[in-house]
Amino acid sequence: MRASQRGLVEMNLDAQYKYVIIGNSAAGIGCVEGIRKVDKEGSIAIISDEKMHTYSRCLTSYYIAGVVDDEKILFRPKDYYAKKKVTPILGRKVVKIFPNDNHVVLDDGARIGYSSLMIATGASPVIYDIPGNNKQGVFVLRTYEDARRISEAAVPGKRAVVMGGGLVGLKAADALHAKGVEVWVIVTSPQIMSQTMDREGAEILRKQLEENGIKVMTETNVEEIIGNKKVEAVRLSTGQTLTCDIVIFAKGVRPNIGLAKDAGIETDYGILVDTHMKTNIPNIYAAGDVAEAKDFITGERYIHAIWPNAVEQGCIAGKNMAGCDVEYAGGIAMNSVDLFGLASIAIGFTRPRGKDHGYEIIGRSIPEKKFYRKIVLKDGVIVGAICIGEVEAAGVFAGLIKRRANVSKIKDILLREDFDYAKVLGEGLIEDTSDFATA
Amino acid sequence: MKKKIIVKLDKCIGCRSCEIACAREHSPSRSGERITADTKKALSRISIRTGLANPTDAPEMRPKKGKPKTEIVTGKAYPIRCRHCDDPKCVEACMSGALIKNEEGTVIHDPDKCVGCWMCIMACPYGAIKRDLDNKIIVKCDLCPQRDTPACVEACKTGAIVCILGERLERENESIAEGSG
Repeated sequence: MRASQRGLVEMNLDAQYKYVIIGNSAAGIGCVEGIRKVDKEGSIAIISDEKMHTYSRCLTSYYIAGVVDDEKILFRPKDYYAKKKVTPILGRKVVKIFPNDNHVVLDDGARIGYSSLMIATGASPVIYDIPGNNKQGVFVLRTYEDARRISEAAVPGKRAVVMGGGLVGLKAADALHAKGVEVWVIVTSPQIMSQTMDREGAEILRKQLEENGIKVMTETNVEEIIGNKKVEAVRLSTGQTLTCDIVIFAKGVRPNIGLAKDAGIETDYGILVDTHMKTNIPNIYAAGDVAEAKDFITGERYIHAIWPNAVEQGCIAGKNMAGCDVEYAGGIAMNSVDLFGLASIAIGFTRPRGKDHGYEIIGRSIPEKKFYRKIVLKDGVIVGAICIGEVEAAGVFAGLIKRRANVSKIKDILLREDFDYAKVLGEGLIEDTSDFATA
Repeated sequence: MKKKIIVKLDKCIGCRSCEIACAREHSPSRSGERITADTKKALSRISIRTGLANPTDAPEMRPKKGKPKTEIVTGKAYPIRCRHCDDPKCVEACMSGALIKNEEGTVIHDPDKCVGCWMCIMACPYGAIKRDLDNKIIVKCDLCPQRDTPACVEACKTGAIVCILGERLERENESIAEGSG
């Protein structure tokens, strides 16, 4: 035990838990599950400033579209906390962390002690400083409350401008469109999904959006939101004015590092963690969108703010908090989006600058089928993959990336529409004996 | 009951009986008639896929246009199916909570919670999850909870797909744990 533990006895704490988790989303729940794999009984408290039972932020756009409701947006059942023996402290905000005394203070003054602490405070949407950004009808899409408010505003016949062509922006656009709202997507970059998708893939997705009635304008900015109190229009960098009732900022998120920073925990853009998801303070961990953790491909620290990474990081942190020694191999950017029935998955490093950097790019496109596949290789090893249309092989590519398998001899096979795990085994690319047995 | 499916690779001849049995088991009426009448509703959770006999021959073996209706068996057949991994990447990636690993160790899928985001497909390194495009959800092996012997195992005439049940599985797991410990 740390020497500072002594302080716990002297201090008058309102409650003391073995594990305290700040944050009730993917990384926080991943952490609960990691802990419970190892420690079935140790007391856990999960603190969130939102009142909701744990729900999926990725489902907020589905909530707007009416595909999921108040029940289905929960990604763990209602009895989850009870079953996992977790004390939920919901609707309460942690205002300060005292690393030397191993406790946190909540907005109602309560002091909660911990033996180890997980910071899974996530990220917040960025609202850019443009005139009119505080008008009624301007939204961000992150929380359940955001989704509920947008859902109320999204009445058929209304018009919306979505700023940002990333995953959140496109999913919001898709959802608004499903509600009968006319939608423009305004993108600063020359293409949509500029973080994950290459030019050619983005063009296919843009076409898919436009064929289904969503208008996309690239290389354009919203410069002003016009209206009295309410949004009435936006003025674009092209000089054009678009009449609208709803504006959604979907131009990225910023990690919520304030608490950690104030507590003297090492931060950069996010909270810096080692390969055990530990911060510079031995009994404080961080995971998810707030944590700058190892990147699988580069080995450098980076934030891949995506659901699977958050769950995995949370789980690894949880196991380590409970006394195991588990290392994080590193995160890989990956995302999946289905737009009007066209599936697209992008994994890893998909946009290298060409052969001069040692990357090899192979690709295949069948426009009439909306099939597109691109593989990025370095020294015979896959570092990135894009699958549009046929996506069933995407996970196999992700697996090959993680195994760092050399695929030099089957490069052409990778681009076949029927590429699958059998081809990997058939070519003896990797050894897979799990669940296989010889007669 | 705890179950585990093991594949004896050198016994698989690629007959695809397992696929039919699986599709039938998971069809609404669980009868053979129904799946011939409405094939779209009956998707197999196991797929017999093949390696290539000689990769350089592959382009000539394929039809000029489109995807072949039935796969030309050019190489070794591999039953591709969910392994109910110890550390399932699909469950980790599932943002709706539709996929969970239950107490018996089976990775189960709740179609009511699935929103068809394909995140699990992106994460499964074996490509063992299929899309049900009619319903915009995924389908995957559930180890046939309603029967002792999974349908694919029962249908496999060569003994390539076998099932280890209950106590024997626990004994094997224990011996593995002891061995590694």
